[in-house]
Parts: sequence; C-alpha cells; structure tokens
Amino acid sequence: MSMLLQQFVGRLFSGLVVLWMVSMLAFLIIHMAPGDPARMLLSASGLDAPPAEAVAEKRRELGLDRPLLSQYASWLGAVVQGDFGVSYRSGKPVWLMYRERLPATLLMAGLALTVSLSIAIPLGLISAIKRHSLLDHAAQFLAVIGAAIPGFWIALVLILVFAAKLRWLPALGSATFKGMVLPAIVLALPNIALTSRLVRATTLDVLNQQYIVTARAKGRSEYGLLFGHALPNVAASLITPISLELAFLLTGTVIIETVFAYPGVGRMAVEAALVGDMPVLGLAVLIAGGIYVIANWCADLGMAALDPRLRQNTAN
Amino acid sequence: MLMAVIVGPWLWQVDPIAQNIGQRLAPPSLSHPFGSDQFGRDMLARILVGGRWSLFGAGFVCLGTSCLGLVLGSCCALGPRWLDYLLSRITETFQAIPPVLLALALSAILSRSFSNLLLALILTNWTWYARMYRALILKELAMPYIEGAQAIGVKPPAILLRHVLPNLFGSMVVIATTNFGSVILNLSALSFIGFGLNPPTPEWGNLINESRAFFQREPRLMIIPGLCIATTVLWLNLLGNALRDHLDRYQGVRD
Repeated sequence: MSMLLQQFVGRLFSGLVVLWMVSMLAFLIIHMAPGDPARMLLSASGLDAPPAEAVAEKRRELGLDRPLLSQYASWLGAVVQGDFGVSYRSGKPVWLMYRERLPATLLMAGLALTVSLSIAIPLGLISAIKRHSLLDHAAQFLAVIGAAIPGFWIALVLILVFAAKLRWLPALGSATFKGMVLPAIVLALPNIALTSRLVRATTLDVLNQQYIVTARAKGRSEYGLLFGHALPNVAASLITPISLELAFLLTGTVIIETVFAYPGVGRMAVEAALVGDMPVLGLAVLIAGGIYVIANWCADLGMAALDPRLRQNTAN
Repeated sequence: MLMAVIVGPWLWQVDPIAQNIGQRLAPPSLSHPFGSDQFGRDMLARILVGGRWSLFGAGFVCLGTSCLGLVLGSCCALGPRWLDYLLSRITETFQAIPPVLLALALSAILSRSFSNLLLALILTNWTWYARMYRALILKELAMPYIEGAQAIGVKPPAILLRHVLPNLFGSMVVIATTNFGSVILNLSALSFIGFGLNPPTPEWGNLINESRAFFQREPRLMIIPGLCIATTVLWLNLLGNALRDHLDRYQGVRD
C-alpha cells in the first residue's frame, strides 16, 4: 500500500508541476501578444482614441510598468482567487464569457463520447471474438480510412448531404439536439476508429492469457468468459485513453466548432485569436491544462479502483 | 501523389492564380480537367501547387520536430535525473494543451504567415517525438553492446552518435512517416480556419475554406482538395505501417 501511495503522491506532485508550467505558458501567451493591453482595454470601455495620459495611467494601474516576474506573481495570485482578467474586446470578465459558452461544449462532448463509446466498444468486442470475419475486416478498413480523412472536410460533406440536400438537419450547430447531431458525429468518428481498434487489441490480448484458458477448462461458457473474466481487464486498460479523449473533447474542439459555427468554447478561442483578445486565449490554455491534469489523476485513481493488482503491495 | 505534386506544376503549365472571369465556376472540361473556381482559376493547377505547400510544409514540420525531439529525447535519456524530470514535465505541459489551441495562441502572438504556422506546428508537435526518442534511446542504452562500449571507455557522446543513432535510424524514419499524415491534417485544418497562407496562394486546407461559399452549387471545389488530403494521408499511413514491419526493431515501443 505504501508503495502505491508513494507513487500516487509522486503523480500528484508531477501534475502540480505541470499545472504551474501551464500557468507560466498562459501568462507568456497573454504577455507576449502584440498590442498594448492598456490601450485595448480603454477602447473596450468606449473611448475611441484614448489620450496618452489615460493610457499611461491605465498602464500603471495594470502594473505593466513593473518587472515581468512581479507581474506574473500578481497575475497568478489573481488567477488562484478566480480572477482571470477581462477581455480586451468586450471589457467583460473572461471567466463569465467562458461560463456562458461552456454548457454548449459540455453537451456536445457528452453526446460525442456517448456515440463513440456505444459504437466502438461493441464493434471492437465483436471484431475480437469473430477475428478475421467480414465485420472485422470492414472495421479495420474503416479505421484506416477514418484516420486519414480530415474532420473539417467530412463535416462539410455531411452538411452538404444532410443539411443542404436532404434538409434533415440544420447546417449551423446550436445547443439543441438537432443542432448537435452533426458536430457530435464528426467528433465521434475518429474516436470510433481508434477506440474500436484498441478494444479489439486489448480483448485479444486478454483472451490469450492463462487464466482464460483455466476458466474455459473449468467449463465456463464463452459469454461468461467474455463478460465475467475478460471485460473487467479490458475496461481497466481503456480508462486512460477514454479519460484523455474526454479531456480533449471538454477543451472545446476548435476546428469542428468553427465549421458548424457552434457556440462553444472552442469557437470562442478562434474568435479571440483572430482579434488578438489574449486573456480569453490565456484562460482557454489554463483550463485545457487543468482538465488534462485532472483527467490524468482520475485515470490513475480509476485504474487503481479497477485493477486489484495495483492496490496490492507491489514492493518487490 | 507526391510525384504528382512535384512534377505536376511543370507538366500542367497553367497559372494557378490567373483569373478568368468568363470561366467562373466552369464545370470540368478538357482545358480545365477539374473545372475552375469562383474567379475562373484553373482548379487542377491550384490543386497541384496547393499540394506543394501542404506536403513541403508538413515535411518541414516533421524534419524540425524530429531534430528537436531527438535532441530533447537524448538529453532526457543521457542527462542527470533532474534534467530528465524537468524536460519530461515540460513535455507534459505542452501535451496538456490541445495542439490546435496552442497553435492558435501562437499565431495570435506572431504575425499570421505560413512560416509562423509551421513554427507553431513544430512547437506543438515535438512532445510526441521527444517521448518516443527518450523511450527508444533508453531501451537501446540497456543493450549489452552499449555496456561493452562503456567498458572499453567510449565516451557518452560518442556512444550516442556512433552506436545508438545508427541503430535508431529505422525507427526514426517510421516515426516521421507515421506522423507525417497527422501533420498534414493539422496543417490543413489550421489553414482551413484561416491561419495559414493568405489568398490567392492555394493550399489544400484553404482551397476547402474558399470553396465554402459555393459548396452547394459546386461541391466539386470542396470535394477534390479533401480527397487529395485523404488519399495522401492514407498512403502515408500505409507506408508507415509497411516501413514499421520492415525497419522497426522494437515493435510496440510506445511511451
């Protein structure tokens, strides 16, 4: 137990180091951008051509005349207290802007993950049991093709077919079920290709192990073998990839949200990058880093919960 | 596909940016096999020249990331433990942020140009290489012949250059080929949302972007560049798999 605890504390610490580095990166991104934040903030509050004194005043107020390190310290202090700065464009706190957009992204991420897992896991299992069957080869073929097709292009093709020609679904995404179907499918496709292959490989791996042979020799039915003995081990090895996939979906999928003009956090980042609204991008980077670190921690905990071998004393 | 893109512009000597208003959105014909776009520009010439930008851009990114990954990977594998820890955390930091988001942030800091897009792609792509090389070099260093070399007094840099690198060459080719396809996808995606070459220079991603305004009337303008990207990436992935079967001595080394 102590060995595992030690390992876990080590991972926790590494995660914190990564978070700290992400914060430095986010600060540098905000700081290195061209353009004068003081001037931009004054314009955002309604002054078209702010006078030089006002700009100098604002610079002092923001602390832009202080050394970089002390600016970083006060920025980090504010971030820890939940103050992520205000947008250069609208003058609104970026956290509020982010929170407005977040539910749309969460809904779509949830839908995409549900779609991809509910197709990929059965597909991978069947491919593993009926190895070299027609379905297995078809799935293999689709996985290879799926890895090569650009997501934004397949999105446009789907818009063309289902929105423009058949008129079943809207071309523009929105946080309604109809508006989410196409983006979620596009997001799910590459994950279906990847995850189903992964499920197939791990299932084959597990089914070749000694304990499966033993269970079979003891007369367990094939379905009992699969669901009672093999599946828990397959699930354990899927936790890390799935949690990373979820982390990726939660950070807002920049490209697909742009194609569908979907009002999520990814599209917000693109809009911010186009106009140089750096605090928004900084927040997006911070949140992406945070989600990644937390997803890794959760994956570690989940592995320990599902795999008894990790919980036993492994001091050997 | 690579041949078509390299040789194509010489064989098909039509100016990809010459506008011909009389030929706007012309359907495919003998003089314009892929038809023409909204300014009457020949689509085949634009595809061929655009492919050069896409492929050479992605090739440059792969070369850059290979070098960066190799240097950092060897620092991790050979350097002291604190350096390994530090570099590994930095790698994780860059991995924590989705590549497209980081490339967006970088393109907002740097001015918007193709070379800066390539720089952004290198900066977001190296982590994977660094981890792979670290794992590969560590594995190689554990081999008995390295121990032999150390025993007869060969210095660590010489071991790396003379003994480890030649043995890793096959794996390096496999890694770069496997990654080439996904770099093309990322490059064209960023170029598609407007962070790449400025019009009128064609590139596969921005060709698709330009076609969006007309894609209900002329889906061809959007479908052809997409098929080009898909077939190129498909062949690269298959080539990568074939190379792995032949060259890679450690199948299954993943970070």
